[in-house]
Amino acid sequence: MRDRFRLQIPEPAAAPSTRRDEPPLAPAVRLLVQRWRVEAALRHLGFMLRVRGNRIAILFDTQVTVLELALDPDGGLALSIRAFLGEVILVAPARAFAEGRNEEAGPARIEIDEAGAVSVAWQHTFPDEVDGDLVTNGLSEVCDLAESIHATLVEDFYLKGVNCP
Amino acid sequence: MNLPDGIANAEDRLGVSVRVHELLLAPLAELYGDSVCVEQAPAPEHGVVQYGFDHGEYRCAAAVQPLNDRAAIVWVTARLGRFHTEYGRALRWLACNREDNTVGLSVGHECLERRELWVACSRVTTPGDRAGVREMLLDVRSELSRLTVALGPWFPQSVEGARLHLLEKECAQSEDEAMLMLATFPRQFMSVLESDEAYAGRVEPAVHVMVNAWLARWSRVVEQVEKLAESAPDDEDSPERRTFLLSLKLVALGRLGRWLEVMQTAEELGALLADPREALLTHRAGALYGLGRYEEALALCRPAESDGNPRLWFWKSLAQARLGQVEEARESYCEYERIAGPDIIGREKLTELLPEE
Repeated sequence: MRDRFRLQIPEPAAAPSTRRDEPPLAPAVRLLVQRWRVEAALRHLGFMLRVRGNRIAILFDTQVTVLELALDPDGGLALSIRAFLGEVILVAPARAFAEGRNEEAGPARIEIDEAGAVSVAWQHTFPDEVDGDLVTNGLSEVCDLAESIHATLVEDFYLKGVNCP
Repeated sequence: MNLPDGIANAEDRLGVSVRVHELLLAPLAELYGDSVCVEQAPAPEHGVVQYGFDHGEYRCAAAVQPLNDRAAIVWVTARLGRFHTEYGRALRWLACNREDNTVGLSVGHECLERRELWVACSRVTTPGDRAGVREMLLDVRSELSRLTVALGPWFPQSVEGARLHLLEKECAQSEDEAMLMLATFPRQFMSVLESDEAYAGRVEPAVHVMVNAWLARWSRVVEQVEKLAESAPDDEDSPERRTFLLSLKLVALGRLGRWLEVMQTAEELGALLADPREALLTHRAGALYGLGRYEEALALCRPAESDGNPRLWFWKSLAQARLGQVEEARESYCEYERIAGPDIIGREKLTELLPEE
């Protein structure tokens, strides 16, 4: 009975962040409040977080994922999610592999810099407020892609992972 | 579709808690800024999120709790500290200090078992009451500042809430069994150090000093700090560590009534601080009073100084009482309590000096 009751509760409508007769929040305050939304969404999922300023890091076995929130010039909230996997030794072939995977056109992309540092990135700009569901979707995209390429990077391109000695 | 009453009410209740939660965020960010973090988020979509932040040495939490279809409860708690000695006395002091105050004493079974002091404040809030939530947070902030005036000086052995929080976080990640004992069973921790020299050698010596301070073993604190100063000359030690150790020594000497040494250590510590005069005034005033130099103590507690350092009103009051200025002593004491709130230990000390009415 209790479970059925819970299932029937619809999601409450999102409350407006500011009312017309109230001054808008200072940019730093607005950014902080939105960071808490991201933190809350992640803690709700049970992640252990390391928070420094507007960067929130989650440590996984094979990568470190950092979520970073910033205000863009138009007042939008830009959220970037980037998983750091480590460094590959065979940089050029790994970049060719990454280009091929990126053409498969998922919302997250693999990036490998000239030194061989591999990351998987996803970005989104929210016009007003951060949407917890979109954040968790973005995180899933990044983590799924990072996990799916990890074994190949290790075996074929000699990845030295961020959490490996 | 019409929902059954129970479900419709639950929906309203959660909608209200979401809107009240919105009211909490902006003033929390403005007052405590980046120090605030999300501690728990059992139901963020319903505004049920617990935020944690430090107010000086105290660890605070704030959250919204659904109540009914018109209002939700906003609550704030502050963990003031853990007391391995004199817990009963500290609890009594706080109970009297917080009597009839909106930010009141909070006591539960767990808190008593852990020998901790907590205060709490809650408010039934309707979704439109933005100003009310802000006022509540401002009230909590000012009451916590009032508490620091007297609680710290009377009970310097407390393990402050903010430090406890950090220790617990570190211990949760540590596999060192002795370190796990540190915050909860400091006596046992010290026994391990005393019985296992090899282990003791691996523990940062400042930790020994700190734990002895928690246990109010003041003579040992002084001995250890002096020994450490001999073994590590000033230029080899970091200023932060020296400041930390000298601060502990200063408090220990005060508790032991070694007033001349308090004056000397205050000089030494002053050389390391950015604003030594402000930070060390109360120690100097206390030492001058302890040495019986009442006129000098009184000269130090001028009104301009006392404005920035309310504890000076207390020393001024005692010095005036010693000099036979009974009315002035009472007035100074009233000013002190106006800032710090009721202080039963301070009253006792002053009453001893005043003629019986």
